Amino acid sequence: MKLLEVQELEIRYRVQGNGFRERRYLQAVNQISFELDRGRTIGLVGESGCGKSSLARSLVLLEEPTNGEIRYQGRNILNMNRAERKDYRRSVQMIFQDPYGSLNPKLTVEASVAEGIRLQGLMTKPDQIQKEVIRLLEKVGLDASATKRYPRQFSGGQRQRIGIARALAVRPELIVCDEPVSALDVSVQAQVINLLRELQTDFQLSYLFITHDLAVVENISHELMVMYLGQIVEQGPAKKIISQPKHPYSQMLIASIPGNRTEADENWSGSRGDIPSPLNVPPGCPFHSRCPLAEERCRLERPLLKPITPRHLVACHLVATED
Amino acid sequence: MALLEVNDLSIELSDRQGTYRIVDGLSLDIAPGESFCLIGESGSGKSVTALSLTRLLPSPPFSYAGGEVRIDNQDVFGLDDRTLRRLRGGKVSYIFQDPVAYLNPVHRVGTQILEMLKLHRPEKANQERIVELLKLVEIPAPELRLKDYPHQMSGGMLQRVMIAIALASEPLLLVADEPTTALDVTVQEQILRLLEKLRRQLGMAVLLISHNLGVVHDFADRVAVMYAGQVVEYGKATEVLNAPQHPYTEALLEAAPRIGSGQHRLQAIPGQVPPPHSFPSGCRFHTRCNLTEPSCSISVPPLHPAGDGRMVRCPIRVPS
Ligand SMILES: Nc1ncnc2c1ncn2[C@@H]1O[C@H](COP(=O)(O)OP(=O)(O)OP(=O)(O)O)[C@@H](O)[C@H]1O
Ligand SMILES: Nc1ncnc2c1ncn2[C@@H]1O[C@H](COP(=O)(O)OP(=O)(O)OP(=O)(O)O)[C@@H](O)[C@H]1O
Ligand SMILES: [Mg+2]
Ligand SMILES: [Mg+2]
Repeated sequence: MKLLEVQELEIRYRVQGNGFRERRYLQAVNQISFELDRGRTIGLVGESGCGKSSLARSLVLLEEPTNGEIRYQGRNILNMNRAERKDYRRSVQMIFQDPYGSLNPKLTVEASVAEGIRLQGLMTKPDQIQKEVIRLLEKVGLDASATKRYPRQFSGGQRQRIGIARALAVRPELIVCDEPVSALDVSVQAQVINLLRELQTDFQLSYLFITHDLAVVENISHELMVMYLGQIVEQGPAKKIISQPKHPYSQMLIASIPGNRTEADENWSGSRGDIPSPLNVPPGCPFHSRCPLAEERCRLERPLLKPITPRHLVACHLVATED
Repeated sequence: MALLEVNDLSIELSDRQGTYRIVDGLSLDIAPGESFCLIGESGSGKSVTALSLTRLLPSPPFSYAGGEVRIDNQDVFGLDDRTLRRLRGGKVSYIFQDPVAYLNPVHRVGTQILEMLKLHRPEKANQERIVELLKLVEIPAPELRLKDYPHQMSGGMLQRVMIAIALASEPLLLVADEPTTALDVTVQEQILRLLEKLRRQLGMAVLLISHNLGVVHDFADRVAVMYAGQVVEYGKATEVLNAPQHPYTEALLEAAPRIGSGQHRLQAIPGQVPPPHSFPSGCRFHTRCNLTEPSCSISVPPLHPAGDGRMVRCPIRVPS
């Protein structure tokens, strides 16, 4: 059985329109499906506002999907009973981009890390909890002297480690990582990525790893989803998509990575256009307004995500199935 | 002759606990029309350096502790206030990471460009020139867009408007402090391409500040790598990136995941960038360096020439 199965997930927000009392809907996540096994990482990339965090929040029950299903070990998370839901909240943890915002500034590191252990009733004896906290801090490369200090006394990378220790405290199986290294300098980013990889090996953890940095995603992910305006435009083995992107948007993303410009790209005209507002998703293919290859059909008909090989899906009229 | 020359510049920062030297003995020069990158991790002193070029740092908490800045052969520290005001936004223009913070939300973008023209190029303060500038930064339908207010534009558009404002004075040097850090990758790529085009077309020099080594690869002729307030390596961009000599430059390059290199353990740099109140003695990188020797903690190594304009601050790699 798959650890996580997401089927045709949709998240729609109700937003204020222009006119008085006008109501409009913003489709932040549109028909997304994917699966994740134990001990694996699925990466999610896409530009600002494409719906990455909305998807992440729905997995940790911070956002209610408008449609679709999320199954965890075969059970639909939206109709779990209380005990099941409590266990789900323990099994699936989230770490955030801003490690400062996600730690309570008034709590010592020890109290922050111990919070989940207490709430979940995993341990009750204070000395037992304290020992566990120190073990966790050591696991993420901090030492016992950190326990009595406050988040503001730590650097960004250290705070991110504290966030990870806090997530690990309740023995999760899946961690949703929403841009966990985007705010960090490269030297610290490398430390945090290495740590996440080690933890995956040690505990068979699964990750949904969100980032806009394709080099990071390549380093850590087995599978990859490329998202554009709420939709998945390409999905499959990370290595394959990064070395041979099929969707014109994936190609544009990869060619835009600083430092990745090669001689061959010199005649490439460059990326073009602005990302349309999610309130005005163009009809047809969502990417057609920026696509260098767009044809008449792309403006009219929305391409479906279809397999070009059994595990590699692309949503583009112009990409043919491979044999 | 150099357009910008910085010689042995030092800047101090004072707070209740004491005074720290946050930029220490920095020297660099930029030729007319050149693209130069200043690179380093957060807190290494890049922005402070950029602002100091036209004495934009507030004092207190900052003070100049020595050195010289020359722009177009004028000694910046010797200028009177009036000349200094003409230099800022005139011969030297700035763009920053967050255009929203620098644009006035209640004025149309065209008006804001006009203000800049009135100040520095009064003879060209007209609609025609505004349209021309917006065209230069590749804003579609400039005749219409000049009537927009900032909130009607996307982040990438706003950065283009900022560039148009910076170009109004026809600067000799454009200082761009992380102009693309807040933008999406595809838009970032567009802005960098635009800066490159403008540099070639207008012949102005660009000082680009970034913490992204990939940006240096795509953009710079020459680069200075900063660590904890000091330049540790300096030279032609291709050489510094392909054959780094300072252990810090090398470590930075190895720490960054590179596209196409698959899954592997990254070479992390142990520890973290020290804050100014606890810069280590001697070589500031010695606490994190894998080449370190006892002598590294004793005296600050000088920047030593390593041939072809390259300078390296490491006596182990480049002995005197
Ligand atoms: N609670 C909400 N109410 C209304 N709209 C929302 C809400 N949350 C998000 N949105 C909108 O939904 C879209 C997707 O937002 P989301 O935060 O999921 O994007 P993202 O991909 O995480 O972006 P970023 O890279 O900037 O973090 C955006 O247009 C956003 O403005
Ligand atoms: N207004 C200020 N008041 C006090 N300290 C400051 C101020 N601005 C900068 N500093 C300090 O000066 C040092 C150099 O900062 P600077 O902003 O130049 O770094 P930077 O290299 O631009 O970093 P970043 O990549 O984060 O922008 C840092 O230690 C910083 O904390
Ligand atoms: Mg987000
Ligand atoms: Mg800065």
